[in-house]
Amino acid sequence: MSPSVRRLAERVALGFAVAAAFFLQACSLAPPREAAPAREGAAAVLARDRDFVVVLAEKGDTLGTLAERYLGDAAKAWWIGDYNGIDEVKPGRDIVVPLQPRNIGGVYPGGVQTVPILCYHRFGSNRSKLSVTPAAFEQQMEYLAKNGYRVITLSQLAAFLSGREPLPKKSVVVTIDDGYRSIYEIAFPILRKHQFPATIFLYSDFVGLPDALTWTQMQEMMRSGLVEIQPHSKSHANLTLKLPKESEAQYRERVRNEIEGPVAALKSRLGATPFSFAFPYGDVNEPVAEILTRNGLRLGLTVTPGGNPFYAYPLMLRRTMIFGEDDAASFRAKLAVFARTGAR
Amino acid sequence: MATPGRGDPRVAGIIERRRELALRYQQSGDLAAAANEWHIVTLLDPGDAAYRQQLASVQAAISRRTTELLESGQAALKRGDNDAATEAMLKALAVSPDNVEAARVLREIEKRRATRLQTDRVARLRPEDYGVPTARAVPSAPRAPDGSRAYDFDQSMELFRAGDTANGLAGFRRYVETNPSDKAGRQQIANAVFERGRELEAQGQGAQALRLYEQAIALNGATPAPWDTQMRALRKTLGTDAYDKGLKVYRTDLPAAIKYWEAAVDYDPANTAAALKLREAKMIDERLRRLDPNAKR
Repeated sequence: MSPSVRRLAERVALGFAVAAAFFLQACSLAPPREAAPAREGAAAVLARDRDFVVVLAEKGDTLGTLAERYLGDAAKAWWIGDYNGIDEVKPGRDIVVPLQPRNIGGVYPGGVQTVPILCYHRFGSNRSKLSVTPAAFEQQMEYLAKNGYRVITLSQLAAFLSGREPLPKKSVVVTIDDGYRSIYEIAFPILRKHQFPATIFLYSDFVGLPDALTWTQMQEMMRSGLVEIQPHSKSHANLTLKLPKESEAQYRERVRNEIEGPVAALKSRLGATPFSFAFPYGDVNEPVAEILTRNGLRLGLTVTPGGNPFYAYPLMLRRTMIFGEDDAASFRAKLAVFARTGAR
Repeated sequence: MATPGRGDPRVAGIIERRRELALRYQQSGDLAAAANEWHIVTLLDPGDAAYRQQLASVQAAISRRTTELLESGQAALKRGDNDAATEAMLKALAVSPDNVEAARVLREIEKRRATRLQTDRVARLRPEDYGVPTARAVPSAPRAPDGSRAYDFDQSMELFRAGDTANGLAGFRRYVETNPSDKAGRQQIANAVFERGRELEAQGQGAQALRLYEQAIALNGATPAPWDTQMRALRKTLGTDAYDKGLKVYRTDLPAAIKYWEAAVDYDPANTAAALKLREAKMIDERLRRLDPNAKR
């Protein structure tokens, strides 16, 4: 053993000797009581500075307990898991806890992290291109849950794109367009079962039609904390197309109404905070993007398939449609969580 | 609790394993990961000058490599080679994940790329596909094979089934115009439209139902016999209803009666009673106009 390693071992031992002395003193002052079971889940700290804590895991330690202890938030368990390349903590294993987010953009020598935004429409037993059966949706969510994917909110994606927060390596966003009633009846119970968040993009003229969500159903889903409701235009018109003889000013005014109408409706009817917008038919042009920005909408979603790296243009995010005809293999192929590059 | 004590070989083992890992990363060119591992090794064994030297050496290499890559990326950007610029900036971030300049350039390139992609996509749109009337007669080229045409069609079908008739029909018209040889598709669309008409008729919304029947036939390109029978029956019913309404208001509101009977004849040209009443009412109205041109009717 080198002298420096010996010094470290001595320091660790000294730390535990001090702790043991403190423990014995505390015992001597406390009233006699039954011997407590051996304490579990308190990993020994081997070293730390402002960037890392290195611990030796004990029985009972989990990624969650370590995150709670050292990062103050069990939800950051994935920071530790991703950094160490592990899904679970094994006793006796040295674990590095990064105290600051590392590699926020997810760029590695072999490629870059991307976040797929899945786009659903309708759910029902009559499968069609845009209608996914309950069984297929359940299988797809089950696949995400069992294979280490993290379904994140669109707000988390916004923080990632702005460079504020890292995301788990296999992050996925679930969105559902238009506002069909089947979201409430079929998709929501499945999302709730898995505790997966989702964003519904509603075109506000749809509300009131027989197959549309009601405001009450939307409120209930929002109360669950899993569902965000965001605007998808007023009438589902293609916002990039000018009407015949429509002046530029008239066109812009119409687009403004198509954007501001649902924003106002979502605020007043649901108390929602719109920050994103899904373009009808996925089409966007510069005037539409400009009006979005003026209305404080930071994210715009197209239907151009693919994953989004941290540097994706927030007003033209890629989004991948999930079709009724997708089987397990085609669904898996759409989960673009990493784009390989020749970056080495 | 198992505690690494004085002379615990586990601590030495951890350091040795991480030292080897750092060297492997370094040799493979993953400088960022190597720097992290050397950082941890020095943390575990701060007294070892050799480890600190290794960390400093990797950090210096990162700094040099980042500068080279940024310069290479900027040069590529200047000559308009966005792919090469992107690759260089990604390499820079792979060795130096917090590099602000590389991230800025990547965002700038991606913004331009996404905007161009959307501009191209929108340029291929046909306004009439989305219910926007236009005088343009020549169909544009098919859209890119990115699933968007199928998406538009299926979206139209879903919207139509969900009750958004205007958007649904606009999409159907587009599909029929651009896929004239897809007879099965046309039939599927026409059936959906005709069925919606039946639903509306069952709900007592005869006029709306008739419009959908007419749309269904136009989309289908032919009139199946059962549809013809159903339409004739509905026209007769609507004609009779309008005729009866005209009779009710005839004595008190002649212009309204005329409108009802015009509608009755329009719905059902075979409704001779309505045609006769309409002719009679128009003659009376004409006479009244001659007697008092300024009278409100």
